[in-house]
Amino acid sequence: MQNLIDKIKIEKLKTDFLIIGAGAAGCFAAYEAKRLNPNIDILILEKAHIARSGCLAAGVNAINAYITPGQSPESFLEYVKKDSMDLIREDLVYSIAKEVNNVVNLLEEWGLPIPKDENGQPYVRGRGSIIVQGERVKPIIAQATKNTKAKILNRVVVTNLIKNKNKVCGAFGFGVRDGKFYVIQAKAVLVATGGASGIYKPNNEGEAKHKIWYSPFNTGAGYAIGIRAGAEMTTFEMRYVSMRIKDLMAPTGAVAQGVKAKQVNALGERYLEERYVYLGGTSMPTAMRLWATLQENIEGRGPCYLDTTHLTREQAERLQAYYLHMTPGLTLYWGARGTKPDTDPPEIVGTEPYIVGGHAQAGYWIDINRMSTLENLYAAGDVAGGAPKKYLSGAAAEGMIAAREIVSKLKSINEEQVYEKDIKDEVKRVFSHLEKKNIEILPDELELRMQKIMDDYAGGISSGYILNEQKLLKARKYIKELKQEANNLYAINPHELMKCHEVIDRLDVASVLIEHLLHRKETRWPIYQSRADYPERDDKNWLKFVNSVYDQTKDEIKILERPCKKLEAVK
Amino acid sequence: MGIYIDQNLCNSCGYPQSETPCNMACPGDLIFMQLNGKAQITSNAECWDCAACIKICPQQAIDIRLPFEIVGKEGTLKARAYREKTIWTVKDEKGNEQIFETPARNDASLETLINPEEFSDTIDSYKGISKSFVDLGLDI
Repeated sequence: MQNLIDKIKIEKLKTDFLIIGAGAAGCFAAYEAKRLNPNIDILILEKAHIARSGCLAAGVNAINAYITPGQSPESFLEYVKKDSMDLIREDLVYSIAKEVNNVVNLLEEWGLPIPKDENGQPYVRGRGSIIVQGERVKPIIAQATKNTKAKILNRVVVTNLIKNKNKVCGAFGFGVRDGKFYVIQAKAVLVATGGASGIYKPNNEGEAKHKIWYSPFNTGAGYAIGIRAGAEMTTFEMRYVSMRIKDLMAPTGAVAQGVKAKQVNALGERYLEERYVYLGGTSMPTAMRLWATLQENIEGRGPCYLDTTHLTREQAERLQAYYLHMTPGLTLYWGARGTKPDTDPPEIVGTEPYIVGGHAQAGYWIDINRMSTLENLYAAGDVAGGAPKKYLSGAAAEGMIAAREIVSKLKSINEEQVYEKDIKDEVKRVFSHLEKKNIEILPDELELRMQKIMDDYAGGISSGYILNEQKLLKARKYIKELKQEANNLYAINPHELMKCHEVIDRLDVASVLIEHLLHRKETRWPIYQSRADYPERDDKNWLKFVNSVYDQTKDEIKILERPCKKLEAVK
Repeated sequence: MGIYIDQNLCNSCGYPQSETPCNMACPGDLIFMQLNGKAQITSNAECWDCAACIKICPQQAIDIRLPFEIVGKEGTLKARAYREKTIWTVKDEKGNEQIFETPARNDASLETLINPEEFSDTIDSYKGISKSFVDLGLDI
């Protein structure tokens, strides 16, 4: 069967600036780099098609990182810090806060409809959040990116970074439509992919398994290529578990903030205000609002709702329409049941845990210019660590910050050689799953096994998100075994081959996640990271970052600790 | 399930000479062309309900149907994407319709962007046009 691998067509490309992922971070990076220097050669790699890829495929109905009137970058920083239990990279969050309104102005200039009040101000939905009508946000960003004349390579799955000693000098990938192997040599590389969904068993099963909140097509490739290349990663243990509308797992902001619906339990009690005032009532941190909701269910007062029964029929229909900009399935959900939000208030539940730096803060350990610990490798958006609650506008801001640094450095970066042996090895690693084997495991089977292990032993939905050392040690053991099984993954076509690599990538993310969860011996972020064996928050010993570096040759994950610095100290 | 592609309405959009809009739009690479030239979804269980394909299909051959296990009712969602707006039709199982209209682009941008090539996300840009496979890297 050596034949098949020998027949793979190899396409070699060269660029100055390689961007992996054509989402908010990647597209804004391309825009900013071309604005600063139109002569720079930029290539964007995209797994799907730039017009409708990733989290933004369906659209957005709000921009959630925005400095609203009366707020400032300083107050935004304070808010994010409080919401994240004081452990954040203040320098990164502050630099994002200074940039987000600039991003929103650009989006509006490119065509994003942002409704305005009589004073010409956007409608403020909640602290740091404004309403937009963003069903078309991704095509709008794509169009602006195309206008810069950056080159876009759609339907290419990234498989690994190319390294020459400690320097990153490009990336490998394969085309899901053309079946080619791509070798892309670059002076600087920006990883700007999405985070990772599908690591844990989701809320729904069978035909509904992808009715999940975060894009099921964001499968952690951006993390995995960094992990395998030995880049330092941070705070994977701050998983993101989201409070969402049951069944469709739709975001709740439009209901909770948009139409001011209160969280109520089955008895109609406004439990946040009535029972959990000591946690801050309605202004408690995001994680605690979900914790309180789960607690109501445990104590027999579920289900919980976002109470929309105060809406008029017209308001209810407007709310339905509002979801067409983000989760059109929810509009259909009410429609198919013949109900509307005023008579059928949405139930709220917790999602499965996701690993995502845009909401929580798992990701590459980066400096203020978004450079990782590997030379010439940068990260922005969902894969960049240390800066939670950045969302669309913050991801775009990070892309722009990284682009500025890269543009200023490009001249001084020498082209590094790509070794033929590395190309040969990667072709074999990537395409060997197309060859017949004695044992053949399908990617779907391996995915289910991985999700079950993580659900059972690493704090998934069915274990109430609770973690302890004994269970985590089992998760470590089983995931390690599963990584061996992954060698037997079998694909019949390039689409299935993509799915093989998605599950391989997620196993690498899961391995790092487990080590982070094991190391933090306190409970910093309830639900996101609830250690039953260390139930208290311990600022004395643990107000610091847990980081890791993977050594591929030894197959070992080394844990490092980094201090948490105040902004003044960083300045 | 996720989407239903009406095999009688699908007219192949010029395939195999061009990439079809639905095939281009799906963020999960889930839509493929069958030997008879008609579009089909590989696995409905993997559909995210993002609606990218239903909005762009020039034949309006695609609709979203939610899995029975989470709704317990049948119902369909259709949509048409125009440059400035999207028109949505929700139908319950008795056939009762609800129509919604959502803005797609703000007025200022519509005035400045006049090249139809720039609107590859809308139905009107595909009518009668056979696009070539520009997005497979040939533009490099």
